[in-house]
This record gives sequence, structure tokens and C-alpha cells, in this order.
Amino acid sequence: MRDAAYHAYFERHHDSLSRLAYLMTGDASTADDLAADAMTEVWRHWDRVQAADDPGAYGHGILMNLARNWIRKRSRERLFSLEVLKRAPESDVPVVLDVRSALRRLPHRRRACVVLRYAFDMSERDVAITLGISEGAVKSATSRGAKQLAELLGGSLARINGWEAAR
Amino acid sequence: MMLSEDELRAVLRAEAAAHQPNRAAMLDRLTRTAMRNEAARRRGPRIRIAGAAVAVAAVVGGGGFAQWALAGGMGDDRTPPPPPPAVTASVAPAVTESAPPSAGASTAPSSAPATTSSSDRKPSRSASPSASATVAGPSQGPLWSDGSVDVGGETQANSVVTIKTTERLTALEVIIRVTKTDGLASRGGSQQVPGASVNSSVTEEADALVYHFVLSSGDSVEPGTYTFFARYTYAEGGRDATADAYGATATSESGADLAVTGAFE
Repeated sequence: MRDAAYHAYFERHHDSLSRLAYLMTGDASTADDLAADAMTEVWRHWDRVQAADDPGAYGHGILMNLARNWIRKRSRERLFSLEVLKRAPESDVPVVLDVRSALRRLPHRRRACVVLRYAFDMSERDVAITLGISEGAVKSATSRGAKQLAELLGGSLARINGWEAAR
Repeated sequence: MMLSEDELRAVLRAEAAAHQPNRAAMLDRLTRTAMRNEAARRRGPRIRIAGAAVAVAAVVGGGGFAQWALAGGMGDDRTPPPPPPAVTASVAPAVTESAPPSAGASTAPSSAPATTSSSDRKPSRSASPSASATVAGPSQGPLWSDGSVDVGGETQANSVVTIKTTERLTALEVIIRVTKTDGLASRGGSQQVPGASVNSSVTEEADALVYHFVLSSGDSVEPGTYTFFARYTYAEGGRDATADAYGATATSESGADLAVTGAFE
């Protein structure tokens, strides 16, 4: 029955959709919004979601597209409202980057691949399906993204370790 | 020093775990979206309440979800098939940008995914992945910028934005935002971009004058230094420019999307 199946899907995936959106956008409340919107889309396309090889990956793919649209829109809006400047320091290259800031510096595809492969432990094949790109593209974006992220975070490793210890 | 792959994995997982998804907020948003869709549907010929959906409300729980079900949001099966969400294709699914731009600034979503139609589909893959990069500082790649205030007397000044580029630009847009202060009035915008046509305009917003400069489409800008002026007058006693800001977006000949921002301090 559709309703029960959808309910099961919601309970199973809403958490990870929100966490994925959080890593992609770096914004907690936006993450829940995007996860909810992805769930709405899942409902609208339920037949297709059900028919997919991996219904979970399908929903995460929808989420990724929503996240990309949101990031683009926000970049534009922030630029043209320029509100970011009122808070942002002038320094071009911050010395210490937290994980979220570092992730934000990665181009979208790299960020997506790194997050799905490392934080969500997806296989290259699943990432390829989720993002609608080839496995080769996943492989190369993941390795470049991981390298870039490792470099960005390298300088603040000590702090991250402390932060992890504090948790 | 660089992080190893395992460290990276651990750091990312910790970051993901640090986020606490808010199930109730998600259900709330689902409900609002569905109700808005239902309101739109009622204006059309299709009026239907989905009985079966009520059962889901009970299962999923939460008043919000129940309202969604009762409002018929779950009755979508009878509507014409929506455009395919191209998750495995190279085109984005038919979803609109739906979150408010600033976190927590507004709880009202600006649009509903479910109200989209095939006409909303965007062939968005054509843009480069780097288009999603967050706003940069005063320089990025071949682009460098600076903001300064050129005081021209006791009650007038120009806010000047200097843009230097080492690459040819095929698109350029500059915005200077001059925050409203006592007696602020525009005297227009002007620019020095030899060899290219630039349209300028000034609009008044609630809290600022916004000077807008756009390179005419089809025109390009050669490597060099260009200046953009926001002219204005203000009340006697000087003017504080610390809240002013500028931003510029450009496309380099190689196709990179660039963005720079800065202030006038």
C-alpha cells in the first residue's frame, strides 16, 4: 500500500536526507527544509521512486539537485544583497577553516562526491546513480575533492582533533 | 600537513552526526507545501479529498501531517504524470528553488516544489560546477577589486569600485550598495570602461541606493583596469560608509564564473 510504504520511506530516510543537506549547504535549518522538499518530490514521483533500483538513492539524488539549486540561488542573492560583507572579514584566505567552511569551498560535484562517499559510505556506483554521472566522474571528483578538502583542513588538524575529543 | 583518507572520513562523519534533523519541522513544511498545492488545485476543476491518505496521517503521526492528508495532498495519483525527475539523466528534476535565502529569516517557503510543471525545468547542467562556489572576497582568479570613497566636497562623494582583470571578460556586472544615511540622494552612476558598452541604473531600496552596471550582452572587456562610480550627495557633517558594499560577477573568456565583493573602508 502506497501510504504505508511512503511512511516507511519517510521514517527511514528523512534523517539522512537532512544530514546530507546539512553537509552540502552548511545550514541546519535549510537542511530540514530541503529534506522536506525532497520528501514532497518523492511523494509526487512515488511510482518512479518505487520502480528505481535503489529508491533511497533516488531520493538522495532529488535532495542533491535541490541543494544545488539552493546554493546557487543563495550565492546570487548574497552577492547582490551584499549582506555577507557586513559580517565577513576582509581576509582573503582564512588561516583556520572548520569543516563546513572547508566543504563550502569545494566545487559542487567534488563536495557531493566526497560527502556521499565518505560521510555516507556510498559505493562509487551508488554515487554515480545518485548524482546521475558516470562512475569515472565520481572517481575523479572524489579524489580531487578529498585532496582539496584534506589540504584545506590540514592546517587546522590539531583544532579538529581537539574538537572531536570535546564531543 | 594533510589529513589522511581515514581522518577525512572521521571528520565528515562527525560533522554529519553533529547535525540534529528536526522531524517535526520537516513534517510542518511538507504540510504547508501540500496545503498550498491543494489551495491551487481547488481553483481548478479537480477537487478531491484523498480518503486513503488519512490513514497515513495516523501512521506517520503529527498534526501537521494529518492536515496535509485531510487537505488532499496525498491525492496526487490522479493528477497527470509529472515530468520525470532526471536523477539519472544530466538534467535537474523539475523542482524549484524553495528555501528562504537566509536561515531562520522566514518560515514561509517561497515556492512549492509540487507546483512546478514541465515548463519549470531547467537545463541546469550547462553551468560549471564552480558556479555553486560561495561568494569570494575582493579577488578571485584573474579578477581583482577594490572599493574607495572619493570625497568631492562637504556634501558629496563618489564611491568608486576598481576592477582589474588579467583575462578577457565576456560578462561583467557590478553593484554598488550605498546605505541610506542622512540626506542621501543619488547623482547617478558612471563608469570608465573604454571600448565596451555598459548600462547603468540606480534603484532605491528600503535601506540603500543600489547602483547597477551591466556590460551589454555580446560585448567583452579586455584585460585592464576599469572603474565604476556611484555618485551621491548627503547632509552636512560627513557620511559613514562602513555599511556600504559592492559586488561584481564576471565570466572569463575561459568560461569561469567569477565573483568578488568588498567594502569601502
